[in-house]
Amino acid sequence: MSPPSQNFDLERIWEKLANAIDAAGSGKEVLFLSKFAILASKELNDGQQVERLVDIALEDLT
Amino acid sequence: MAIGRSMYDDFPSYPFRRPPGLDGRPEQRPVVVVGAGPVGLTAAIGLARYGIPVVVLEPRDSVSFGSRAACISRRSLEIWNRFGAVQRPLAKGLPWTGGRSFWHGHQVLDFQMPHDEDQKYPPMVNLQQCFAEQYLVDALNECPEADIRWHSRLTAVKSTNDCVILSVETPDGVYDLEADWVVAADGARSFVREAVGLKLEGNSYEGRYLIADIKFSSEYPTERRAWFDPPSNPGSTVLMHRQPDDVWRIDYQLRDDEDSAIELQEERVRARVDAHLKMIGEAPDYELIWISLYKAHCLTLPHYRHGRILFAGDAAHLVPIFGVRGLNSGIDDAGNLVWKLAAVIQGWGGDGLLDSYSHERVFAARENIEQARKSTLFMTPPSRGFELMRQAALSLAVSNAFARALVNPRQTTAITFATSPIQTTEDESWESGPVVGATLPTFPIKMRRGHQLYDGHLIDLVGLDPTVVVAGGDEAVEMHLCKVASRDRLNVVILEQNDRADARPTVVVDHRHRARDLLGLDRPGAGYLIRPDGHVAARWRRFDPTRFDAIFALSLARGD
Repeated sequence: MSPPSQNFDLERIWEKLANAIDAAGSGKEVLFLSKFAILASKELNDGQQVERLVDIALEDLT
Repeated sequence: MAIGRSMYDDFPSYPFRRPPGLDGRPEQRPVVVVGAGPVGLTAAIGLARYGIPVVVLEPRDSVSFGSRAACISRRSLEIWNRFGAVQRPLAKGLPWTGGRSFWHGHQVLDFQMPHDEDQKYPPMVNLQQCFAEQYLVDALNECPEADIRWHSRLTAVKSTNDCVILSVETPDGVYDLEADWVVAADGARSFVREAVGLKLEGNSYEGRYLIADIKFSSEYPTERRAWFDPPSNPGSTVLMHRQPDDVWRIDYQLRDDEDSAIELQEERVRARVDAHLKMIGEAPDYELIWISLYKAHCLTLPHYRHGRILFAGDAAHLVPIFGVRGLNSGIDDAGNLVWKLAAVIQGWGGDGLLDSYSHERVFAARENIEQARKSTLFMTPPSRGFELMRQAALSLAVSNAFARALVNPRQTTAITFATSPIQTTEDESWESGPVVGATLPTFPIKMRRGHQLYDGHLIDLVGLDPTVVVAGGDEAVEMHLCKVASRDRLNVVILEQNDRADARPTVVVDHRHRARDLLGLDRPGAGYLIRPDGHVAARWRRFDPTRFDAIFALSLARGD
């Protein structure tokens, strides 16, 4: 993972995502998250990094 | 499934003509083409252009029925042009350059295929396959070298070292036909392929598409339209193409819970078409002409040469419909095979040319399959994951340009061969121009014939023989090339920026000065060796006569 930048507040992002999932509404959460995954991947602009993050997200889904 | 036969009543039925083989007169032919589909007919007409007698065997008594492969690519038009068979398909077909995709009422894509003022042909032309076949049949019937045998079904294939013996069933009985070479272009269920025990390799997708051709009048222009999950057909994808004579093709995806047999019933198709036309604001006043069911296959033979039998088109490979690589890759097969077979038969090329056909076209099939596979994953998502990612891409594409790349239908483009036994590797650095293995681009030129200058296109200069295209101004280079051309099958084209007083027939004028940008020809004597199928065999910035002679021999597989 990259070193945290000065103005990056993970807790704040965590809250923002939670509110966005609620705003997307019942049945649209997965679509929202899928869109977000594509947007975030595009923004990262690093294929290897994205693949690594995908693999991490797949862990411990129990 | 034919519904409105009346629409295509003008296509002739051909009578059975008794071949000599039925009267105890054995026949030995240099080439027999199995199958009078567009690929077999293209191969036959190409061979006839080389003056090679060719027999075409076809069980039917007329061209096939329905629109089938209705999109003809620029590359296919260029190949038909080379064989003198492009005029009628081009005159009848509807050219188009792009299209649109919609999702839930939003336009999510407006795409354009590569096209500019340098081109001779549009990127795509829509024409029902039966018209394309009929024009090729008419052209072949004018060739004294060609003999199309309708009502002729192959029942056995026996290969020997020297020939292939084909048993042909006709209304009057069975006869044997001996062929030096066989072009197996007998389609997806190829009898030749079965008879010699070869199997297609790869996989097939579960997604099914139903194709309905309807005739109705609309002012909408010729472009490809796609609707993802439209209100008229929820959960499905619908495609629409305009064809000549007010025929419109509507393709729609069947959902997994829908039964093919039920969905193929006329009233079911009508209900789907009615709903679609209503959605796009067209009156549901149409004639239903043809219905067909389609599944996506990604299959190829591992080799297209089996001794004296050469496989082409659907007999050799099956590619998903999306991106229109089926017919177009088959025509490309024919364009690649014809000159090689002609060179082997006429003795100006080595047998290795036929191995290179297999090498190059298997590579092309794999490239085509990979592109079409990606399109298929989008057009018929095989799982929840793909479905969700498609939805996400479509939703993003409404307002985010970057996501539209994911929605783009990846239409067919000419293939660049990464390797080939008959091409060199690049050893100089170039600023532009097609790499070795790519196809020659085109631009308008002026050609001198006698005292007159005529408008033409660079690709028109690539005919039946290998061609060198070289930047004028280096007399030693020109002298060497003309010396080779005087004793061999080589067509020399010298590109000049301006008309030249001593203009020989081979001098053409690059009056719009495109050769530097499009070919990277920045110095006198720099040039390309172009094969008769338009692929670049070699290119050089500094000409070396010894090296040229070697690459010319290599490009014709001589000395193997």
